[in-house]
Amino acid sequence: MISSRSPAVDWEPLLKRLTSAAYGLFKQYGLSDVLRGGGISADDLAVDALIEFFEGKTVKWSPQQPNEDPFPLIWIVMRNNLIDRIRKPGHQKTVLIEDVRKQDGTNQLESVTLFDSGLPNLLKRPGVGFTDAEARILAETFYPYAEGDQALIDVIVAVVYFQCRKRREIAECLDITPEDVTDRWEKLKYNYTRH
Amino acid sequence: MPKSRIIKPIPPKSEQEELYDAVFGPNEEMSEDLADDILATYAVTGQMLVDKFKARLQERIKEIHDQTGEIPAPLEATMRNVRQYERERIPRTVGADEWVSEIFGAALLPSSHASPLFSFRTSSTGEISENDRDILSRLMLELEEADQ
Repeated sequence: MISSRSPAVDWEPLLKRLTSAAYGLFKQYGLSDVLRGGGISADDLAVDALIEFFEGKTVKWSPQQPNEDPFPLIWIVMRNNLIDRIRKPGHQKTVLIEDVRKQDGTNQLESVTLFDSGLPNLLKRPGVGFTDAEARILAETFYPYAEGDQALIDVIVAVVYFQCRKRREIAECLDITPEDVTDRWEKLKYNYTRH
Repeated sequence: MPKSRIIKPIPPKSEQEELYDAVFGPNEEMSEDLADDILATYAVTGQMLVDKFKARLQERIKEIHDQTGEIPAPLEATMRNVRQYERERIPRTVGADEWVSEIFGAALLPSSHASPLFSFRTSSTGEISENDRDILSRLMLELEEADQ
């Protein structure tokens, strides 16, 4: 099995892509650079997922083409592992006891950004869609990542106000090509994921 | 051939994850250029990641060996592959003479390329070529004419 998967692997680019995606996952789940309670960092998450993938116990890798990219499959392993770790009681306990209270004793949740505290509530009714006020709050939480670039703001507007979710939907809404959407996503993702 | 798959259950993406995907692009899409840009902001290099991967892989092989008394073949093969990958990335050591010769050597020029009027040679190679001798003679002649 391994002989069919190893020769085509270009390790360094694969590790770089996985680690960058892991930083994105950490941010998405509201985690700092090192996962509390588990003590793992984004690069640990990427490296462990890669080892798990090549160990072959939880993943069956049967490439249909010689140079098939294993990244999407390893990304799933990585995401699953992160979710497992977040669900562990140790992680929850650490957050509740150590992190919620600041040094001065005040509740840290009071200073959580609107996005972190408001989004789960807004998303409880995804089928209904957002009210104007909710959409405005949501859009404003994403705007900083556009850094004033109107093209990037347009993507956020298409997603939040026009409920576009897929690349093609956003492209049609903004009258641009799907490749343009990919380019704008890359800029937004960089602004969001970078340190 | 059966398709690749994850054996354990995969939690579906939440609405929140789908919203993130729509705003920032799917998290499972990551180009190497974008990864380079992002990692630069964390001061993380590719070599650091490869080194970490190798170290963790060794730990995992040892861990399994300690538990079962056997070396896990897939991970052993992966380690061999990583070592081979690193060996291939180290530039071949080349002597100065060979390096300069490679730069000026005719072998590097396409066959359609006009042949140069000079040929590079070191003092240990021997006599200079007829072409070089001709060029030098003409240069000397030009210099003598300029002096007069």
